[in-house]
Amino acid sequence: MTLKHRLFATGLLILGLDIAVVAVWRLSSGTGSVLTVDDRRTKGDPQAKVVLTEFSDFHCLYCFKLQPTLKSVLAEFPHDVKLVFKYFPIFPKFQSEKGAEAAECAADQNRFWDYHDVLFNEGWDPDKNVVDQLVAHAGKTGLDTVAFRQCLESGEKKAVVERDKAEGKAVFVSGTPTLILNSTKILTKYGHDDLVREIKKALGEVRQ
Amino acid sequence: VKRFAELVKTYWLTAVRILIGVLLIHSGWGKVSRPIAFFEIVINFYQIVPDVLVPYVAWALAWTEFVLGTFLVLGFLTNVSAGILSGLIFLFEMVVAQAIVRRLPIEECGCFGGGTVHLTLIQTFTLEVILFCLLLQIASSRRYPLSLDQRLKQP
Repeated sequence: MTLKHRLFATGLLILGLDIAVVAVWRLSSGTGSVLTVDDRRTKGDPQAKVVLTEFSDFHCLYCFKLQPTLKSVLAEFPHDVKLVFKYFPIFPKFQSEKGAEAAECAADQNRFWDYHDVLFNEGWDPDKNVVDQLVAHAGKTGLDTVAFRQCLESGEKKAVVERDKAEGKAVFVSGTPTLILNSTKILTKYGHDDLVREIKKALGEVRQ
Repeated sequence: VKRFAELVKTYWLTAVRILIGVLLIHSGWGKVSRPIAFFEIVINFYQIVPDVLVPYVAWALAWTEFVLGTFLVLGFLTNVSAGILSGLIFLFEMVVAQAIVRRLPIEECGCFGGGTVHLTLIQTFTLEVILFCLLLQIASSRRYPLSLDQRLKQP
């Protein structure tokens, strides 16, 4: 056997072993992704067959731009799609975590989605007192601002935000926005038509 | 003294070769052991690859890392593997650099498949510069202790 033949055979053997190890692993395990759902942060029919999980940051421009698309998709599939919001703050210098905690305080008063819209539309200036601005937004949304401020200043929602983020990291979320279909399929295109196509595909699989 | 220095260099490069190989296997495994869409989304965050090519690029990068990582650990086609990997790492450096410059909303590089290692873009860039230099050294090395190359070249 010449050196060339030996190299070729060894290369094939290593490649084959690599592929075999991955194949055995993939066949014996699912995607390993289980995402929790907080009903206060869901939109759409609770019984919907398709669950769209959004990992988002209130200070992220791309997340803001995605909102009209999500709204129109929910309107088009009122009984088939449920949207679940997950916190994934990624801009510490803009105090994104504080925005997420504030939204969770609003969820305590059952006004998550109203506050969510205000946060995306109006944002906050990180160079000014962020808590005051977030409380002011709560006032505009019609929340109990005393309870809201107490909730926000106590830091009691930090753990919730961190748990969402940990769940995201566990399924490979590394930026925002990230959309996951039915807890397993990470969507890679967020245009309206792309989302509709994926939802129809998922509905077809459910109905079969 | 010269011979001793040569010996130290050889074994240092062997240790580095195995360490980088393990790192690449770990990083490649995080991608190939899950549905490739998980890695596609990471590539999308860098906004540099055309949509239509993303699935192919994701698949190729993940498997290249995993297979060439195995090659490095085993010391198989060491120079060629290290050469290709240094090119790949250089490419990653450019991609990460443009993401830093454009201030893309990426909190961590996503290079390790969402596993236990989470690096910011700056940390990733630094690590890649180090890896690139070390891989170039391995690629230009002519001695391969503890390697398949050495075994295979024996008559």
